[in-house]
Amino acid sequence: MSKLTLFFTKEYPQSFLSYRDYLRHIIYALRRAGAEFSFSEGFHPRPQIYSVASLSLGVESRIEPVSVELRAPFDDEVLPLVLPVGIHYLGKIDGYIESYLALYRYNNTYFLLSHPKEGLGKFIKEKNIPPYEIIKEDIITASGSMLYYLGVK
Amino acid sequence: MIDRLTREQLYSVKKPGRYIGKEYGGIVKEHYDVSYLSVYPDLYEVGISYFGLHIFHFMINEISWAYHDYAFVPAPDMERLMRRENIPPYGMQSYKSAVTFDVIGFHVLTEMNFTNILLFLDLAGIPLKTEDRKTGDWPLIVAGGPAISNPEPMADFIDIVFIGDGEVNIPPFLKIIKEAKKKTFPREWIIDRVYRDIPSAYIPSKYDVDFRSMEVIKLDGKFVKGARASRDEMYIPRKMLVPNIEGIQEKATVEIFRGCTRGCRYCHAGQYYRPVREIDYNQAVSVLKDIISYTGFLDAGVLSLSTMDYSAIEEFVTLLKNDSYFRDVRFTLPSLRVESLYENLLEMVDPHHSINLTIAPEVGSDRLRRVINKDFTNEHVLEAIKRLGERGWTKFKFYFMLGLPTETDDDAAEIAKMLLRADNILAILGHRKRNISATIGLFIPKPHTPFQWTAQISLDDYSRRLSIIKRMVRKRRKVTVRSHPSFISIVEGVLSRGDRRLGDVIYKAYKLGARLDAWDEHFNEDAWREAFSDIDVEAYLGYRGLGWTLPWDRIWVGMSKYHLKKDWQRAIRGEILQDCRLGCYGCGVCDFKKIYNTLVFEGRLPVIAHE
Repeated sequence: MSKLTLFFTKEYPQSFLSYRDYLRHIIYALRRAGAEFSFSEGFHPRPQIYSVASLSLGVESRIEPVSVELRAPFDDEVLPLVLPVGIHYLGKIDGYIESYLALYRYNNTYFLLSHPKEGLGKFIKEKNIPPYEIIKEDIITASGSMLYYLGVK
Repeated sequence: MIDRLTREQLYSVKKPGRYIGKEYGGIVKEHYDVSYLSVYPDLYEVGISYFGLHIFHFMINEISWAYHDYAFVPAPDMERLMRRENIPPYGMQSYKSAVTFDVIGFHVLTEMNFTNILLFLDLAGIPLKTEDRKTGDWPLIVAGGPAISNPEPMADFIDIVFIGDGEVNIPPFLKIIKEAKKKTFPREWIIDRVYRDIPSAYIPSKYDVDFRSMEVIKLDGKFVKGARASRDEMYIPRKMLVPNIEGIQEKATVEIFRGCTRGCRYCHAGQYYRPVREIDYNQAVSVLKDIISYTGFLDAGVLSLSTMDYSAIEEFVTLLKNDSYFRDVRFTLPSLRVESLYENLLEMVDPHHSINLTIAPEVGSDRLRRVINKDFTNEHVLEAIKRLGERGWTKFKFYFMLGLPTETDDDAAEIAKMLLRADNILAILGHRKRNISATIGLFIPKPHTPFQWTAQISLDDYSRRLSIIKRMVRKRRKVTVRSHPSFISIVEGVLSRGDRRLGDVIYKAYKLGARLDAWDEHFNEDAWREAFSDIDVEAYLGYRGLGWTLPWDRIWVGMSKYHLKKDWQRAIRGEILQDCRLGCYGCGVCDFKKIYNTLVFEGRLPVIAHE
């Protein structure tokens, strides 16, 4: 059993997929790459996949953490080759990701939201700005590590 | 190449994932001689789930000089956007405008998509009528599929209609286009060559038709016989496209066999796809594995008209069960034939994995069941429910039809009685959570079936019989009947057995705003009522004379007309026509060289209830 968090992007035009469809594509892609998911118990077993927060329709993300529980060790070598257009694979870390702050950009202003307490949807509604002009640029975990493109910076 | 839709544009429509394109698994080519755009004339979720589209995409793209792309029709909000901002329909993989393709081919699975075909052509800027496309370099507009096996209502709009299996029809057609393009021959040359060389191509403009009321008094032009692929010619894709947004069906699919020879008299598919051609079960398993590793799908299923008739079903299911490759894959079960529920199979199907079980007794009385050529009885149905109930099944979906020939109000009451008895059986077994739901459809006579001469029930009669049933089951909380009369069935009835005089009617309905007619929420009843004011609807829904020439008589789909007529007379007498796997009656479909009932285990015959 291994718990992993993988990092992907969600770029235009895939930014116009609902978050549910986005996760569905990630499940399929991971299966294509040979990942063996753990499944939930019960009547309708589903692959174990979690995401701390979802993006509103239209919002792009340069880094989207997706946590999964797998039955066997996973080699991510082929994963970049089996992703749909608009989703890129950035890398993985062991274990689940803790709750985090997300850094968003709208025009040239940046703002931080903590997930999941301050929802992005609520923010968009209050400020009345078009979601497709917002980009999730980075995330900062509670322990203070900045994960920009996973170590590129 | 057209520009991708901008963020503002995508954000302004519902479910923008429908229009993104570039589905994972699809093919883009740079160089080719002939391009073919398949259009499933309905919304994305429906069209992308149609398996024939996947067959076409991978089959045509295997030809080095041909390119295949696909498209769908937009929802009303996207249609408005496309008109406002001059966005043409485009191939989802190549982003090429529809009008730049050599061929636009429509997959027609229901008559309720006719207006969507006009919508697509209109948005693409292509003249709707064949005669207006004669000059100019317009794409060839072709169509195929069961619901256009009577192409006459669409005669004004479609250049060529292919009858039968695409595997046989399409490759020679593409070769003709390739030759024409090389020599820069005009469109008309292609159409003439297709008319001459492809025996399964129906070209409406080549036929001269005249009417006296509903009777056809003149019908000139050559006979067209539906093309059939032999088992070895059937294209079994080992890849599938992954829909961007979830389709109504999204699973690894293998077509274990094509065709059904049970001979149910109301069934159009039974005529259109006969005879039975089964593929090997080892091949079927390996195909599923390939598709799952190509797509990552979590669900798998088989495609056929009556899965339990597959002669290798036990071997196939055993192989699937014992293969660890499928441990994470959920199999979905198609509807089961009551007479096929014999013990061995019951053990293989786990009630917890197929929560809903669909049973289709079709009618409530044994007499009427003989009329439609189903040879099981009410006792068989109830016995099956008892056995399934004993094994833990508690939820049952029933499917019935009203309006079949010779039906009376008493036959309708029999439907209610069956539901009550099923409820009793499950109650005695102690299933408190039982759930019996019945869908009661309205029978629509289809061309090329033995019932093509009969009349369609009126909405008043249908409502009355429905209310008889609803009244009888009213006090049972576990029994629900979901059905409502709708003008949609009148439209479908008229179009199914229509003739080319309906071209103006369809055009008018489209202009008045009819589109997406298969969707309750989009169906525009006023537009159709207005368009129908020009024709005698009753006559189109009524009886046809046995001696008449019918508008679709130049097309031979399944049984020959002689055999259809004989079978219609058998129906009236309540006589059963046996499955032709038990003995050939020479209906004319098979040539016994390439095309015949091809089973995995030749000796294994279908389970027949009355034995």
